[in-house]
Amino acid sequence: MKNKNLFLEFKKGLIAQNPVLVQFLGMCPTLAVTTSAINALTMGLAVIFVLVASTFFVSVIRKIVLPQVRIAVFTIIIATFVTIADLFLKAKFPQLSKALGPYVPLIVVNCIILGRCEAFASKNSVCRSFLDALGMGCGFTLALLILGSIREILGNGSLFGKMILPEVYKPLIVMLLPPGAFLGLGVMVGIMNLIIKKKR
Amino acid sequence: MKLLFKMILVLGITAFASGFFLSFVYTKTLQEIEHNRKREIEVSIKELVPEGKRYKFSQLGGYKVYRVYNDKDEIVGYCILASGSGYQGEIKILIAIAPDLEKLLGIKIVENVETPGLGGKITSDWFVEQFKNLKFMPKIEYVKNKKPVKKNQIQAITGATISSSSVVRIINTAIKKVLPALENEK
Repeated sequence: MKNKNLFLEFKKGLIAQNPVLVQFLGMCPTLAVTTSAINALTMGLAVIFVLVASTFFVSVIRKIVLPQVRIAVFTIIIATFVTIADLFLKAKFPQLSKALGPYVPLIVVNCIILGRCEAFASKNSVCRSFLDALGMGCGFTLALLILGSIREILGNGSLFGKMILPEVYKPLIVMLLPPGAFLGLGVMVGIMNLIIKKKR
Repeated sequence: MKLLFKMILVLGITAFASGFFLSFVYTKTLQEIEHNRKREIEVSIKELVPEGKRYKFSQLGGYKVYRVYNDKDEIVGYCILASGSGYQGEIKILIAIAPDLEKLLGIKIVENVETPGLGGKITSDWFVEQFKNLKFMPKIEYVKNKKPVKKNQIQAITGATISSSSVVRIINTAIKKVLPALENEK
C-alpha cells in the first residue's frame, strides 16, 4: 500500500496534474523553445535536473529554515542549480546552449520549480519530494517534447534534425513561429481535457 | 532580536554555501567554455579558408581580424568577425576576404536569432554560397526575385528581405572599415 502511494506521487505529474497541460505552469519556456524536438528535450532535461536537485535540498533543510525567510532561501537554492545547469550546457553542449539562448537562465523564474518547492517539498519527506519532482519534471519534458515534435514535423518536415516527411511536403512555416506554439498547445490541452473527462 | 539574528544566519549560510559551490563549478567549466568559443572561430576559419594552416589575430578598425597563413607562411586570406542588427537581433558573421583584397572567399553566419523558416534561411547553403568569390567593390548589392547579373550582386531571400539586406549591410560596413588598414599593409 505504501509503495503504491509512492508511485502515485510520481505518476500524478505525468497526466492528472501535468504542470503544462493541466496546471498551466511554465508557459514561457513551453511556448518559446519548442521550435524543435531537440531544444524541447534539452529544456526538459535541464528543468528535471533543477527541479529534482532543488526540491531535494529544500526537503532536506525544511525543518531548519525559518518560515520568514523560506522563499529567499528557496530562490537561492534554485538559482544555484540553474547556474550550474547553464554553465554545464555552455561547456559541454555549446550549440544547444546557443539555441536555447536566455531561456536556460530563465528557469530561475519558472514557477513549476518554486511552486513544487513551496507547495510540496517544504512539507513532505525527502523521498516523496524526490518522486514528486521527478514526476513533475517528466510531465513537463513530455509535454514540451510532444509540442516540439509536432512543431518541427509540421514546420520543417524533420524530427531531431532528420528529414522524415517527403520532399513534396511544403512546410507550414507558421508552426515554427509564435502562433504555431499557441495552436499546438491549444490542441494538446484540448486532447488532454478529453482524456481526463473520459476517465471520470 | 533573536529571530532577526537567526534569519540573518540562515540566509547567510545558504548564500555562502551557494557561492562556494558555484565558484567551484565555475572554475571547472571556465576553461571548457573559453575553449569552445575559440574552437568555434577556428573551425569556421578552417571552413572558409581550407588551405589555411595557422592564423594571427589582431584588432583593426574596431573589428577582430584574423590573418590566415598557409604552411609556407604566405597569407591566403583575411577573416573579419563582424556583427550588426538583423530583423530580430544581432547577426554575427565571419567574413573571409581573398588576399588580393578584391573578392570574398565566403562568409559564415556564426550567430543569428532571425525568424526560423524565413530570415533563418540566411544560414542555408544556397544563400551563403552566393558570397563565394563575390566581388565587394565598390560594394555588395542585393537583388529581389531575379537572378543576379553583376559580379557584386546576390539574390535576397524571398520573404526575408530585411534579414538578407542586413547581412549585406554588415559585410559592407565591416569591409569599408577594415580594408584601408589591410591595403596599407600591403
